[in-house]
Amino acid sequence: MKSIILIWMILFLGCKKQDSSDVVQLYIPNAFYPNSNVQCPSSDPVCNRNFTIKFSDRSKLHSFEMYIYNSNQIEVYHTTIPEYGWNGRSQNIGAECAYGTYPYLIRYTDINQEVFIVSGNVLLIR
Amino acid sequence: MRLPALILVFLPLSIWAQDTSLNFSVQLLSLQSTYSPSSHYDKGRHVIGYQGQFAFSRYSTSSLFLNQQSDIGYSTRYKNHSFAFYLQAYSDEFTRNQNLQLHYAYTFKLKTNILGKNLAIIPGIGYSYHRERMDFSKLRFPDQIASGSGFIIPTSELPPSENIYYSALQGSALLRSENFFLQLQIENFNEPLISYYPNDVPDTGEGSTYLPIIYSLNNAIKLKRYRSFDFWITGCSVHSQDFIMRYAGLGAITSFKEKYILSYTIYLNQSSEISLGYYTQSIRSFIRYQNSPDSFLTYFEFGKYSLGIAYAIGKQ
Repeated sequence: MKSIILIWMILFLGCKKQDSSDVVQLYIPNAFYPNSNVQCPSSDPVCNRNFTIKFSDRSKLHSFEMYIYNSNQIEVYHTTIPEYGWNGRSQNIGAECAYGTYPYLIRYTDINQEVFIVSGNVLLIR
Repeated sequence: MRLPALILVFLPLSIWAQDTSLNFSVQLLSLQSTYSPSSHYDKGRHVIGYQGQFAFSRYSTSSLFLNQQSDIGYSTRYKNHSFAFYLQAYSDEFTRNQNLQLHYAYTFKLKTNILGKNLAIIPGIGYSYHRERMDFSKLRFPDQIASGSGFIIPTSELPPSENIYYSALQGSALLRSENFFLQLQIENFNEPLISYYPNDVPDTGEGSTYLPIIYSLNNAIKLKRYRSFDFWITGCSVHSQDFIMRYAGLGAITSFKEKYILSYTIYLNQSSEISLGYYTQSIRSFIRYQNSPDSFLTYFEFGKYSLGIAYAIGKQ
């Protein structure tokens, strides 16, 4: 009987199992074109004109931060709102950034407060 | 006659697919021994050079040829003037850029001692023809990614051509003597268009679809000679139209016993480099460390032959 209670405690009290459906998957493009003329769907009105991250399930996202730098390691964009992509201008309102590769760093947490960090590069095409 | 000049540059770093702005592979090219040959040698020379850059990934057993370059240079010197031309063919896998460059420099000695002995002015001009290629099949545009599932679907964002062609012009002027030098260089002063979508280039005049003009200013002044030590102070500044690329507020060169040169430069945008050189009639060599990115570079010339080896640590 003691061993049954022990197994029950391990299974239901001691172990916190992560449900795979809680995991937020990020889908990150590696290129965008701010002057794009491609016809965009209504669900994504800026499509290729912005560098925007897509998610497997947006409702499972708790917090989000994205930093983008130029080749001189100067920040050109920062946002905490996942839907606000980068439009290729400095902080989205300044001068147009040049054609080239820009490193990004994304830090996000899921509904279980687990922290994830993703980094990579995006090509801004002109 | 000096041949061949050989520079081997090794670059171990993580490969970024089609990185068009990885600057530090370009920085190392400033080492070219063939560039402006007449400014270095009194009697003129011929140069045939080859340079290859390789990348080694620590997760891979194979290496990748990053870029290759071949040079032919010729210079000759007369009593009061000299001229040099330099032809370079360059192919880069990283930036997918191939180009052919032609440089011409003319040295004219000025008969005055205002700024020190052997004052000379060296104007130069360069022309380069570039072909840049992008493999669009490796790019993922936002319209290709399905929300929720992440499935990749075809894009309609395909350019008219996967190649762009452009010509770039550069000019420089160097004023130097035994106690002083001042160099101004202007690159891309014709501002070539580098767009893959030339029909979409906006008429707003914003220069981002054009290769920006880059201005470089370098100078050094000999401050004092103390026993066998020469103390110089140097400065440099590199600007593009949009931002300052790098600039030095403090630099120092110390030479002693006419053979050794120690130079130290702090760039105000938080990078620095230090180099130690050894120069005699038959041997020219130096070793240099530069941070941001960390790179070591060593270079030797023994009589007719040159060899350079660089090691850079990429940060991703």
